[in-house]
Amino acid sequence: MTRRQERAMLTVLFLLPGLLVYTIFVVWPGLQAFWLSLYNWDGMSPATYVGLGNFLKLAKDTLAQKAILNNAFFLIVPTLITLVLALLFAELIRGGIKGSSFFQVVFFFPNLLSMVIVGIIWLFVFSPNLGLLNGVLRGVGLDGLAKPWLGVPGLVVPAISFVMVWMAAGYYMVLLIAAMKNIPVELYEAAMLDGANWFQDFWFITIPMVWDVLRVTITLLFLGAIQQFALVWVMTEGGPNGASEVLATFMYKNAFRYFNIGYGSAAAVVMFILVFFFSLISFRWMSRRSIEY
Amino acid sequence: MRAMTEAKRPTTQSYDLQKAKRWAGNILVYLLLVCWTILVIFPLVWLVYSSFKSNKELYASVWGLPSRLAWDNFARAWEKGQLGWGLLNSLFYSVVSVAIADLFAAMAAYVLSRLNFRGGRAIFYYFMAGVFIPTSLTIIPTYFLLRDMGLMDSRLGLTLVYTAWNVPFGVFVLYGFFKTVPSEILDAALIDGASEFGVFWRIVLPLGQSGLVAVSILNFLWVWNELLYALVLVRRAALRPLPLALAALKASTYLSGDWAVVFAGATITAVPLIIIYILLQRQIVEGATMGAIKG
Repeated sequence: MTRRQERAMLTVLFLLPGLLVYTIFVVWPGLQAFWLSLYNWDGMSPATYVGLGNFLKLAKDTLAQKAILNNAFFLIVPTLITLVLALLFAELIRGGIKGSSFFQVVFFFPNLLSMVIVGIIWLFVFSPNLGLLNGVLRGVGLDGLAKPWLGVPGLVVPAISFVMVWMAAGYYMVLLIAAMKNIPVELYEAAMLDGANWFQDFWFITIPMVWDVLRVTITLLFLGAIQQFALVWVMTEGGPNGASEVLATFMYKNAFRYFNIGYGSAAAVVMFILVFFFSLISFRWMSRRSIEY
Repeated sequence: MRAMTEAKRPTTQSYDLQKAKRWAGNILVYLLLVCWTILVIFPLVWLVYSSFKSNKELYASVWGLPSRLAWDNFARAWEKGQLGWGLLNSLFYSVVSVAIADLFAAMAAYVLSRLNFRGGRAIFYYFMAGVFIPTSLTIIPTYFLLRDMGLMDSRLGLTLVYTAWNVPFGVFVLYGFFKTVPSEILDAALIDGASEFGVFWRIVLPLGQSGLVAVSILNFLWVWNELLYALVLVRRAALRPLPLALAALKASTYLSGDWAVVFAGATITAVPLIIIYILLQRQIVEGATMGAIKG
């Protein structure tokens, strides 16, 4: 066998297993989702073609609207708070104050727990009768503030948002500290000579120098928020009465509880479009802003 | 750095006033950091000691320590939640899917990064697309695919799906790592009579080790924590991975009202992690920050 033939054979043999398994179990079902979203189908009897009917129905469905609004809330509010906290903690800790490595290790930890464990822990904390939060409130005499946190439509989404922040803030803090370590000290020294204050240091040196990490952070938080499933599923299953429904729980229920396969697929396609759109704009829009000194 | 900046700044205020200001600032900083520390640690501590309480005690007092250690909570959780199976299954799904995906991805990444052939670029982009496809897009068709293949409710089916999702991310990362291996080394080995496969196995894989480790850690964590696919593709209790077993245990309390068992179940799954983390904190924090792509 010549070297050329050997190479050609190796190329095919080495590419084939990965390509096959990826095509069969990721790409092919991904394409099928688009196709399924154009049909009405209960999973058994013959499917009927409805064109964009499922998407029109989705636009008018108040529960779907609620789900998209909740996804938007999760996209904006916890992301912003996580970013602010992560930046603040990173800025406070990186100077090497006493106990900085202790704080890093503790703050990072929630990220290691799975969404399911975190969801269960906070389900208990927010629980009306045996919950820690109400226990604390009653303990300090604020009985009036004790509430069934996950049972009140106006409170459930902020409560879940808080849990998202609790989980993510420490992780992104650690990422930011690592990025801040790479900022050359000379920049701060030059700024000091120019009489810059703390805020100017932070705004004009630190933020631009860690912008790449911030960009990745924002993108990941956005994508996580659009696909949010496990936390909501464990804590509320979208309840009470759809108040914390998100696209993923909406899709799951439609497909696997009510057997509206086409309708569920349409929700999945909407999620894909949102993910695609946000990946695109976060890479396009933000790549222009990264600064090289 | 910051301390130096402060110290050298020209003083217009008296020295004492400045010192007092910095002191107050430090107090504020510590107050904030300690508050967040409590917020992180306290729920976990509360979870662990509450899991030793009986159901009656749980409802009687949120704060109270258990009057006697209700070890049977853990036995019930272990049995009812099938947590032993959950642990074994989670290990199986994670280890097997990561190992196979590592191998497949390394092979593909090697060919794509080393050998120039027509269509190579297109195939690379084809793999890269997989990093951006949300898992929720494919879940419904995957259910029917496995049903038609007779792989529903089987370890093989779920493992194949996890493997398939791990491959594109592996190709994406390893491609970059393999590109950094100087081609002179490989050419020299080829001239010395090594086969193409030998070069891959003995030179490229060992040199790309740190990339393989990063990919393995992130893929492992993803599979270990995954819920949606397991929820849809697995029915039998004996096949459930840990997150699903725990979620099922929680769901069972709607009928039984037995919350102590869920406290115990959550503790059983969280405590080993806490211990591992205390032992390996530095490596884990560094490993997780190494590649921050996979969501």
